[in-house]
Parts: sequence; C-alpha cells; structure tokens
Amino acid sequence: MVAVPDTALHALPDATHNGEGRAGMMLAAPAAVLLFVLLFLPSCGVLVMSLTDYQFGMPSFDVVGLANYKAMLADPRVRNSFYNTALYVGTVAPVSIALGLLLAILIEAQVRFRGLFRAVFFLPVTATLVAMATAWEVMLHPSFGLVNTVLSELGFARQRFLTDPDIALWSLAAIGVWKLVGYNTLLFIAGMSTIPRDLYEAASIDGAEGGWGRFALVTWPLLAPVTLFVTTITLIRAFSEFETVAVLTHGGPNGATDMMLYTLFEEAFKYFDIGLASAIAVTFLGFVGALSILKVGYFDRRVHYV
Amino acid sequence: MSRTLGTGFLTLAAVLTLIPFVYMIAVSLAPTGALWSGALLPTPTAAAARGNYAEALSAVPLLRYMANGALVCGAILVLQVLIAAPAGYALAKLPFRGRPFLFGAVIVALMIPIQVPAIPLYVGIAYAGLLNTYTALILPFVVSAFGIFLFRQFFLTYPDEVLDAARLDGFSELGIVWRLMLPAAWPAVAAFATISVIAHWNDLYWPLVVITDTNMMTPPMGLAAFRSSGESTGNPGALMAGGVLITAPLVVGFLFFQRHLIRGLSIGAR
Amino acid sequence: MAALDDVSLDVAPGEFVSIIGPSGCGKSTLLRSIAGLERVDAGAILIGDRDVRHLSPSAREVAFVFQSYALYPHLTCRQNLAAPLVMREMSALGRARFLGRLVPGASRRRASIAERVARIAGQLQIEGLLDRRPDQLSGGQRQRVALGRALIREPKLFLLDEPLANLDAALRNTTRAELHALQRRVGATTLFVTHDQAEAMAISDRIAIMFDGKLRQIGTPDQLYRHPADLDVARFLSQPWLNVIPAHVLAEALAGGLGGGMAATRDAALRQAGSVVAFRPEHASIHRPKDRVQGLGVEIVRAEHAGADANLFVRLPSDGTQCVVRIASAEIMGWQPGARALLRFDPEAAWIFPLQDASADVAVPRAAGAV
Repeated sequence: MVAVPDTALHALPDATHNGEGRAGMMLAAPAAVLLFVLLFLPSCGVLVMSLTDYQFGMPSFDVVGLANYKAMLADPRVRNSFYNTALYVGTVAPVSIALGLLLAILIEAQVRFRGLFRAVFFLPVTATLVAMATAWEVMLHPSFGLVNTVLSELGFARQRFLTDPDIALWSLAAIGVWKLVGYNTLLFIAGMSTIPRDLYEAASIDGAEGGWGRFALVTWPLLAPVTLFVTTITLIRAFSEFETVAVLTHGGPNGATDMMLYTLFEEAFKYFDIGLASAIAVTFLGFVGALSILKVGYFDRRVHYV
Repeated sequence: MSRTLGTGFLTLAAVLTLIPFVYMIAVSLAPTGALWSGALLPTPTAAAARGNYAEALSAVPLLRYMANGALVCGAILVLQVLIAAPAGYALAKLPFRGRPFLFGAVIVALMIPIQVPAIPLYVGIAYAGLLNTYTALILPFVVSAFGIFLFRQFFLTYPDEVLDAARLDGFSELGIVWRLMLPAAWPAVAAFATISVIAHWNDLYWPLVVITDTNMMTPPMGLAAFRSSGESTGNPGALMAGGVLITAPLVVGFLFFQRHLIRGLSIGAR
Repeated sequence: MAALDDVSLDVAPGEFVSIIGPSGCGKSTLLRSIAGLERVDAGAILIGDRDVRHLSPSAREVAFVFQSYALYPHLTCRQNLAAPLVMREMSALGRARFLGRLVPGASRRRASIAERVARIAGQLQIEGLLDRRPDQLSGGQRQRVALGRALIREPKLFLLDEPLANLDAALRNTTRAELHALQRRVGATTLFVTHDQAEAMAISDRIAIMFDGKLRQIGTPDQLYRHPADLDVARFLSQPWLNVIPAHVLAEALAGGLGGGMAATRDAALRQAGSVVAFRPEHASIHRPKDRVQGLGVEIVRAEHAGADANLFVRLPSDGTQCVVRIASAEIMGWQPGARALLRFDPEAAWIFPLQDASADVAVPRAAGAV
C-alpha cells in the first residue's frame, strides 16, 4: 500500500470534478459547434429567407414579412401539392400502421418461420428505394408489366398506373405502403416482446382466451406507447416522400403526384424561388417538427404504466 | 383453423412483398423481347443476363457510383461516431456548464429534417466552391443528433464506479470513450451504423442538390439518371440490372447480419 | 420449466395446502399445470369430480395469484377487479364502451358486477384505492388487488404462486396472517406455493414438499417437522442448519467409551454402514470436559451471535464433521475457539436416515460447511 497524505485525499474529488467539467466541454465541443454551424444556423437562415426577397447571387435583400407565405398559400401548384401530400399521408399512414400491426400479431402467433417472415417484410426497408421504384415502374408498365398482365388475365382492363392522373397518386401510395409496412411490423414485434407473459396468463384465467379478448385486454392497451411511436414516425416518413415522385412521375401527370418535398426541391434548386421554397421548408418543418416532439417524448420515456 | 388462416395471410403478404425483388432480378436476366411474351415472369437467358449487366456497367459508370456511395457512407459513419460518441459520453457522464442547454439543442435537432437547412447549406457550399465534391456530400451529415442521443442513452446505464476505477488506472476521458464506453455500447454502435448506412446509401435528395457532375453521383442518383437518360428506355433489362447491383450490397448485408440489425433497429421501440 | 414426475396430491374442500421445495423442484409447474397454463402429458386433474385436464384455464374455475401480481397496468383497480367478471359474463359487444349500452341486459350485468367489486373491496379494505392504477399502489396494496381479482369469481380452487415473495419482511408477516384469516373466512380450497418453509409452517393445514419434480412427503406441519421422511426433507425443514453425522463416526466414538449410554437405544442401527444421524441445533447441548458428562469430544470453532440465542460451531476431531449447537447468547464468551468440549444431543429428537447418495455432501453439513 502507498500512503496517501490526507490533503491529497481531500483534494482528489474536487480536482476530478473540475477536470470532468473541462473534459466534458472539450468532448462535447465539436458536436456543439457542428450542430450550430450545420443545423441551427442554416435552419434559422431558412426562417429568415422565408421573410425576405433574397435571391441567389443578389448582393442585398429586403424584409418582406409574410409575403412569401401569402404567395405560397395562393400558389396553385403549392396548394395542389399540399392537397396531394395530405391524400398520400392520409392513405399510406393508416394502411401501413394497421397492416404492420396485423402482420406483427400474425407473426407472433406463428410457431415456425417467424424469423423468415420478419426478414421478408423488412427487406423493402433496406432496399434502395430508387432502384425498387424503377422495378415497380416496370411491374406497372402499361403494356408488359406484371400487374397489367395479371389484370388482363383476370379479365380486367389494363391501367396506366403511373400516367393516369386518377390513379398515379394511389400507385405511389401502394409503393409507399410496401416500403413502410416492414419497419412498422418490426417495431410492433419489438413492442409486443416487452409485454409480460404473466399478463396473458392472467387474461386466460380471467376468461380472455380468444384472440380478440387477449388483444383487447392486454395487447392493444400495453402496445399503446409503441403505437404512438409508430404512428409518428410513419407520418413523418409519409410526409417526407420524395424518391418515388422524383424518379417515377416528376410530380406528373399534370401535377397529380406533386408532393411537398418535391415541390420544395423544384422551387429551391430548379426554379431558385428562394422565398417561396423557404416558406415551404418552414411549413414542412412545422408538420414534421410537431410530430417529432411526440416521437422524442416517447424516446425519453421508455417505461410505461409500471 | 385461425392459425392456418393467419399463415395463409402472412404467406400472401410475403409473396406480395417479394414480387418486386423477384421481378427486378428476373427482368435483369431476360432479353427485352421476353417481357412481351405475356408470361408472368420473363424467361432468363445467359446471353441476355450478360448483355444486361454489361450494358448497365458500361452505359453509366455504375461501379464508380458505388465506390462514391461506399466512400461517402463510410466517411459519414466514421465522422458521425467520432463526433457523437464523445458528445454522448459528456452528456451522460460529465457534468459541465451548458450541458442541459446542449442536451436541449440535441432534442431540438432531432426534429429538424435535412430539407430544412438545405437551402442555406447549398448557398454556403456553392460560395465555398465545394459543389460536386465529396465534401459537399459528406459535410451536412457529420454531426448526427440521433447518434448523440442514442449514445447518451446507452452510456447513461454504464456504472460510474467503473469510470472512477478507470480514471484511477490512468485512463484519459477520451480513452474512456474509445476503450470502455464504445465497446460496451456496441449494440448501439451497430444499430446506429445500420441506420446511418441505410439512410445515406439510399439518399437521393441531398446528392440531387449538390451534385451535377456525372462522375460524382451516388448510386441512387446515378440509377435515376440512367433511367431518365433515354439509354434505358428501350432496355428495361439493363436498368433492372443496375437496380440489382446497387440494391445488392445492403440487401445481402442485411441477410447476413439480420439478427443484429433487427435488434438494433428495434432499439428505438423499446 | 421443471418437469413433474408422478405427482399425486389429494386436497380436501376448504383445505389450505402449501407446496414447498427448493427452486426448480417443480412446485410452480405443478400449480401452473393445475391452472392449465402448462400442458400435462399424462394423468388427471380433478376439481370436484370433474376432470379439467382438457379444459381451458378459464373453464377450470380456478383463480391464480401471480408472484408479480400480473395486474393490468392500464386499468384502474376497480377495472382490474371486475376484469374476470366482465370477460366471462359480458359479450364482446356488451364490453364496448359506447356500443355496450345497446346490448340488452348489459346495464343490469354491469350493476351486478359493480356490486360484487364493492363487496370484495370492502373485504380487502381497498375501497379507497379503487380508482387508482396499479403503478400508484404500494406492493402490499397491489397484492391485495391481485387477491381480490382472484377471490371475486368465487373460484372452486385458489392457486397462489409465491404471492408474498415481493413484499418486504414486515409486510410479509402481517399479510401472511391476513391471508390465512381470509382463507378461513371464505373457505376456499387453496394451494399455496412458496420456497419459505417458515411461511408454509405458519399458515398451512398440510404441507407437500417436492424435490426434483417428485412429491416426497405430505402431512401437517407438525408431522413434517417431527417426522421428516428423508434427509432432504429434514434439511429443508431445519433451516438454516441441520447437524448430520455419519453413523460410523458416531459408532466409533461410542465404542471408544465416550458416548456410553447416550444413544444406546440406537446403537444397533448406528452400526449399519451408510447411514447418518441427524439432529437440530436446538436439540444439542455443549458441556465442558470437567463436567464429566458423557458426550462426543469436539473442538470449538467459533460462535455466531443471533440475538437471544447464539450458534456455536464445533468440529469432531475424528473426521472434521462440523456441528452447530444452539446456546444462550450470554454464554458465548465462555466458549473460545480451539477449546475442547463435549457435545450431547437428545436421541429422542434425532433421526437416522439411510444415505441417499454417497456424495461427500453429507460428511460436511451444508451450513456448517460454509465456515
């Protein structure tokens, strides 16, 4: 043993504490600076731009108040785009959430092949959406696509899935559901695995033996926090749909599939209407940010009820 | 009875999920003429397969795109971990002035999608003359609020006694992060790596903003350009071959590591 | 899950039977099999004179109290108590919050359920807690709600799986007494699983003791305590310590003139190879060599203070076997480690067991071996 003078023993905690404070700042500094420079500064920038008439390359600009927002709400393209986004989100989110829950329950009830089903449904999440969108495009091809081949075999008329203005948005929604269901299924399965088994046993003794009774008494209420989480991330993902529009339809035919992010992209980086684009970006942040608050609240509070 | 019904439904759903993959592969192996045969899946031929893949690799520099994608994803991931892990450790274990403020900033940052700061970032990158560079592709993503948050949550559970012991043993704070915390948090690292690589390999939005040079394109952007270039319109086989090539790395990786990846990706829900 | 092997147990109406045994012995499996939570491969489970083996758990008319209580976390206590009645007596449509009003008879059934919930809450004195959720209750309160949920159906059979294990020591003792009084008042036939032999002794009409999936002995607490069927049972009911001396060691000591008539009645049995003599610390006494009593020569190892009593650890010089003697704690100072002494025990309170297996386990008694 080494003898430690009394004073050293007393000095130690204090020194460590100061050291910790300094070390903490040093370790957090790169992240803090980069968050500020790369995220907060430009995000505030976009907020400012949405209130000015700034244009690329212009040496100066004027504050125009809410003019950009008024223009945005009056712009027929933007209105149509927001309407399409609402239709798309209102379809894709409920369908992919309900289907995800149904698949999760069915997979949990399986004795064999649970891992196989889980992996299959998860494949679209990892796959590159741009590539899969082109595959869908070939499948939906009006003359030789698989879907139309099947339709005509069954006696239905062939459809121009991506070029018929009445159908195109629903075709993209189908692709969206295909893409999102697997992740939702996975999240529901993970949530279900945390429900204590003895609650199901208590339910079976209390008389809830059928699938529905178990579901209503135990699964659904205990899954509520997971359902909330799944709902918010699904809404965010649906709001953020970009790839299928940008690759397959370019918002067409005739604006039928124009959606928020695609409009934002074109206004900002194709037409360089920075004021309008900034206003759209801020609006987008309003939607997604509000949903994220729910999501983050869930992140931080992992334990529920108990 | 009801279980059989469930299995039937699952099987149907699984088949529907897999059809685009199967169809993409089948078309990539078949001659264009076979698409018109009226069969559900075109019949592959060896010659057509060779032709389609050769066309995909020669009509556009697909291998170059994939190398770009690998480089960008790798650089983003390494930088994200290098920056987020120490910050997560500081937020979890080191009381310092401004810590609550920084944590609040991380929470707010979680809510901001890349499309929001995109316009000013583009302006900045353009003024700096960095358009069409790897820097432009990598820079906006080097700090990940999600990564900081995830690491903090994991590090919180690490016992303080071990940290004190490590300090007495002469570890520096940075040494604690790399040699104690990160190895202990490997499920979080794996989950984060998965999420990061999937997001940035597949991203189309940001490359479309900062890249116009054909040589700098990432795989999805390159494939989208290939699709609209006109070179592929008469040849869906080559386009599908390109799709198979850029999708394969992640899908094969997923099939290899799926147990870890699924556990990692589920972390968010538990 | 431990396997059950040829378990046969007959419980009279209104009886309180505890099932005890070391962890992994199959006691919980037995209880869960009776409830229908585990599948039984062969045999019969009769409740009344009805074989319930092929019935679903809810059709068996049993109630089960889980160690974790398994209260539905999202329901209030009132709803938790009502759950078994609602699930059984109301249709799925009748249960629905708004549509339920349209179902004929639903409101009458609801009123009847509310009345029974109020009655059971009165019995358990949890009326004030009815509108709280389980997470707003203490462990003891949760335990009462779990009991109430089991009682409310007036089951034929009451199954309790370590219901007191999650309570702190003081609460465990009072709850134990209340549970016993409640069972007497309700008169429900009860099976009670516990790993705590003192708990079982305190409240059971009879105790069934299990080892390795087999039922070893069943009887009143007194029968088991005084006449354990084998060494395992004796050990389990003599916690923390049972003294076990190989018979040949004792026989040699006696032959050497040390023991004299101490165990004369059992002298013949002692000469059988492969048996052991077992007795409890409270049936042994320790004496000084100068006292000139007849006893086994031992060496004092150490003493442990245990309040009013103390445990004195001694060692037989011949083979090192350790024994424990209960003495008054005031006498501790008189017994210094290393001193020689004489050990005596009451032969009437000692047992001779055949050695079940020849493992070295017996030569060093479990607790004393930890010295």
